[in-house]
Order: sequence, then C-alpha cells, then structure tokens
Amino acid sequence: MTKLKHRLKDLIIEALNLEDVAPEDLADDEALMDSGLGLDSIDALELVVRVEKEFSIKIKNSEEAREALGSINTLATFIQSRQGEVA
Amino acid sequence: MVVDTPRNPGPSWGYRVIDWLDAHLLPPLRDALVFIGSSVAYLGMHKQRQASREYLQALLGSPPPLADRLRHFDAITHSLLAKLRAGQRVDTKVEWADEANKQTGAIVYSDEPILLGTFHVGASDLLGFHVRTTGRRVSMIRERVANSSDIERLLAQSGDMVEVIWVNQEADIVFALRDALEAGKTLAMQCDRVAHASKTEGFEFLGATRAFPVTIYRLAALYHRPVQFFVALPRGKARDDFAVYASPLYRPTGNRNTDQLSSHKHFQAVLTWLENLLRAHPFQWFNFLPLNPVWTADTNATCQRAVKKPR
Repeated sequence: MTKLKHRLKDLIIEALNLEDVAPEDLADDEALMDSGLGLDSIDALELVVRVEKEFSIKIKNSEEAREALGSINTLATFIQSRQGEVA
Repeated sequence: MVVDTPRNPGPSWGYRVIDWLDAHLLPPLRDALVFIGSSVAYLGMHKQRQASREYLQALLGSPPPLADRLRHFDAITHSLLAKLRAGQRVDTKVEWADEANKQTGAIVYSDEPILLGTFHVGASDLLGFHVRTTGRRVSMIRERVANSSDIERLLAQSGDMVEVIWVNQEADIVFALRDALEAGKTLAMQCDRVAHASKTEGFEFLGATRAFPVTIYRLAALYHRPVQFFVALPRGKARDDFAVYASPLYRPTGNRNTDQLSSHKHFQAVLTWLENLLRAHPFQWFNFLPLNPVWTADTNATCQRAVKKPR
C-alpha cells in the first residue's frame, strides 16, 4: 500500500505539473478536491484518465470519482479494490 | 437534472416581449422600437453599461461617444432577436465568410475529432447551425440560461448530431467531458469568460495583458485533439445572415513542454485575430461583463506555476 501511495503521489505531481511539490509534501489524508490540493474539474479529469491508464481500471461516474479522489488514501484503497475485483 | 439558477442579463420576460414585437411588427417599426427598448435597457442596466463603456474604450482607444454606447446595446438586442428567430421560425444562414475561411476551417469536414473554440461575439451562439451541416457530431459546452430556445431548436433539428453539456452541472461535467471525448465527439466551448475556468494565462488583448481560460488547450493536450476557433458575425446589414470566420488550426505534439509554449502562442494569435475582427465589427462583443482581468502573477497562482516553469 505504501508503495502504491508513493506511486500515486508521483503520478499526481507529474500529471498536474505540480512544479514545486515533492512527494513527501503530499499527506496521505490531504484532500485532493475542493480544498487541500484544490483540483479543478479538468485536473480531476486529467487525474482520472491517468489513473485509469496507469492501473487499468475504470472510474465509472462522478460519485465514484468523488469518492476515489477524496485523498491519496481513498484513491489507493479504490485502486486496490478495483484491481482485487479484476483478479 | 438539477441545474444552477440561470443567469440572465435582464428580466426573462424581456425576451418574450421583444420576440412578440419582432414577430408582429413591420421591420422599420420593429427596428425603431428595438432601438428605443435597447436605449431604455442602457439606462437601466448600470453594470452592463459600465462593461460596454470599458470594452469600447479599450477597443477604440478613447471614451466612446453616447451614440456608440447605444449602438452596442442595439447590436446585442438584434443578436438576441436573431437567436430567438433561429429558435422559432426563421431559417438562419450561418455560412462561411468566404472561400479562404472555408479552406482554413476545412478540418470540420474531416472525420477527425476536434475541439472547437469560440467567444461571446456576434452570432457565435448560432455556430451549431453551421457545424451540423458538416455532418460532425458535436457536444457543446454551454452555461444554461433561461432563454435557450435556439439551443432547444438546434437539438430538436439535429437528433444525436448535437448535444449540450451544461457547465452549470459541475458535479457531472468531468464525466460528461470524458464520455464525449472518448466517444470521439467534437467538443465546442466558449473560451473568453474566466467565471468557470480554473486555470488562466495572460494574453495581450485590447491593450493589456489579460487573463483568459486555457481549458480548451488542456483538453487538447490530454486527448491529443486539434483546436480551432470560429466566430460568426453579421454579413452586412442582414439580420439573419451570418458569416463564419476560422482561426488557424492548432495541433498538439504530445510533448508537454512544446505544447505548453505552442498553445500559448496559438491562443495569442487567435486573440489577435479576434481583436482584428472586432475592429471591423466593434459592436459585436457581447460580454457585458467587466473585461477579462489584467493578468498578474497572483491572477492564477496555479497557472503561473505551470506556465513559468514548464517541466
């Protein structure tokens, strides 16, 4: 799980071009949307696309996305559960 | 579907009144009444009057005379009438300005999914009537307001060729965008207002470096889609005949650094192109809002981070 979270942080920083942010700057429970990192809808779309491609999963709708993109923790849990379903 | 409260520049019954007058009066009498009505609106709409004055002064380089300010309000009233007629009873002509613009915009006849940008200028709200003639499936990103009869008619006429993604529904917009893009549809969006934009960049426009949204280029980079801008402006003095102008095409390379710079350069060229069109049609700018804010380092800190130091 720790490895997955670190991979997610790298992906978020790279996908969203967070120039001055290091992986250790992102807390596992920091909100990604609204407050915290404050992702906007296009950021969220970019992240959804990158996560889907990277982890071969599908985020079906806005409810799932809101749940998954709550924080690094929730995103990692979501990915693990989806990959578990596939396995 | 829950939609946020629609925003309108005036009372919603005002559209119904001018539509009734338009349908029942002879054109000379109608035009005289429209001018009186738009002059009354000018007196009563303080914020819009300020916005009009600010725009005209920036375009003309000096305080606009009263006659020009009234003409600006008269022009938007006729634009609204054209939309209402398109929505109800008139076969509105929205066709290429000339062969050169048709050649420039030729990609709309191809099968390639593209991103179509436009502005709150002239009859650009009616561009859907033009695009649907190309056989292209389009998803229009629009802000829902109370008077959307032109859109309703366009949707009714176009079957599944045209759909609307309402930007007011922010909770759903991410997936509406994704589904449309993944389905290979063409997205059309207006790219001048910063209200719903989260990332802006600074561009030279009307005498200052102003903030404009760059959402269309972010989507272009994400889905590797070309971008082209179109506007429709009145053809001479005709009321229901509009000429379509096409900007140069932008095509992302897939390299983030390159695309960040080239998209900025492209949009600057588009805004210069738009400014030149506005100088030829000075009363066709229909953002009766304060001009786009002057862009500073604080205008959009997130954007600044992305633009100043591309990775």
